[in-house]
Amino acid sequence: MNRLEHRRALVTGGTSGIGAAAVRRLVAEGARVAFTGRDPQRAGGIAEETGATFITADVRDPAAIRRSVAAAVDALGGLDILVPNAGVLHHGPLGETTDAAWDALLETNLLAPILYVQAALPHLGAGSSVVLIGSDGSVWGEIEIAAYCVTKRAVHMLTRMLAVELGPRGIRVNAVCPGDTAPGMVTGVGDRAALPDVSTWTKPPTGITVHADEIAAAIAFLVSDDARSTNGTELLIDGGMKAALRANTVWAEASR
Amino acid sequence: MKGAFVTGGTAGIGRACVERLAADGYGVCFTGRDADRGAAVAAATGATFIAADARDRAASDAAVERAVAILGRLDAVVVNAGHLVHGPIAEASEEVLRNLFEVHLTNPFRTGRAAIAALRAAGGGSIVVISSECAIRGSHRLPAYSVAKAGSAMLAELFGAELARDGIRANALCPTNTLPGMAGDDPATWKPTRSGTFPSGADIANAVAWLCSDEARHVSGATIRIDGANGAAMILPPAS
Repeated sequence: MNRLEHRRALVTGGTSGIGAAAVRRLVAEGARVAFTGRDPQRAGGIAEETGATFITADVRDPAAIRRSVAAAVDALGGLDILVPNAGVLHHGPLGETTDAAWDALLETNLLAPILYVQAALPHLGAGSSVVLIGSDGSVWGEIEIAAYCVTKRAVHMLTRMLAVELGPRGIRVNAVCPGDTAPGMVTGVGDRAALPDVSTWTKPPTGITVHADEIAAAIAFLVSDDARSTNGTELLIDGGMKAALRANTVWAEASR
Repeated sequence: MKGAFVTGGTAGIGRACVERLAADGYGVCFTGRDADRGAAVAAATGATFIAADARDRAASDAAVERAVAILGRLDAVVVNAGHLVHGPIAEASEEVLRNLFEVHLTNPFRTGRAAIAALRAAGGGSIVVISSECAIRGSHRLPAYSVAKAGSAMLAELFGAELARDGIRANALCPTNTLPGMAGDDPATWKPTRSGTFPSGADIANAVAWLCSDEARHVSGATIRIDGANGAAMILPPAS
């Protein structure tokens, strides 16, 4: 499928998890892709495998944001698709969330996507598209990752507000809201966490843990012309985990 | 005497909350930036003014501590301080955005976090985050503000969930444009609610007083609109 032929895409945080899956999927659908990350070592394999261009950038650095957008535009000859995917997770209740963790969450998950959109806007023409990364935690919060959920709820509204603001320019803005995804977010505040043991995760009603490729497929749909009228939506991809008060017990009960 | 702490209490909704909670018998401490307005509200209500700018982390943390010291206990926290940001997100400067998130997200987070110990010591209590109708149905004229307020509603919901076992409740109140309020006193510049009227600060303070009272003892983690049904259904242009 070449839905994205002649499209030029920038994916931030593209060296692992959902970001890496998005890079692969956008390339597979015909787009030319640049992606950012903090670690060139992690990026090497993906760049080699896909032909995508890697740009070193830490999204907490506003100058690096502007520089990476310019580098992507240079490398690709323009920009039609922006996926500001880079994010950090932090485990803990609000009462135990430190200032450092709070600031890292706000700057990475909320401020950086806004600054990326601002930096990319002069290059985005009619038919362009932005996909923000929400979370099932933006739809319905979780105490264990409370501050993260606050930032993602804000991203949820950011999606809608940008959809309204940029719609008249022919630029669509949507969000995907993944449930617990593997391979997924391994980036905690401060440093990289160990890869989680997915076998211990609570299964959604479908019994299937969400795979990063499924989120990437949704991103590819949202940036394609198939989604021409899809604007300001938050697409929940969580196997039904947030569909009912105790949906997280349904699979275990059904498979007993 | 029960103790209440209100941020941004020198005008608008905050001032109405100070007046109402003082009238309900709370000892009240409130913050603000304007010492003259603070002194006037203090003189009118018997509440204590603590000068603190919501952007100043050290001053805001110290204000909670000082309120607990003055009041002897803390039962109610009303996180109200805020400001409007107009205009497109595309044109919002990094400084404007940082200030916005500092006041509407970080300050409520830090104020709530700083108050937990005192609320626990009082055997429970109530946190009310003054959010906005924009947290639920964003305003395209206040897009960055809507983003921040959406986050603040989630903050209240999660404080409510996290502290439920401690008997500490937390809720988000989501008012429409209130007069007098942040937008100034000229109703001509703002659309009224679906009913054709604006709520007053006292209307919002009524809900705050209820949320802080035992009558609301099972109301927590709730995001409550006070918007004259604005958010209840799509607002269509008048038929021509």
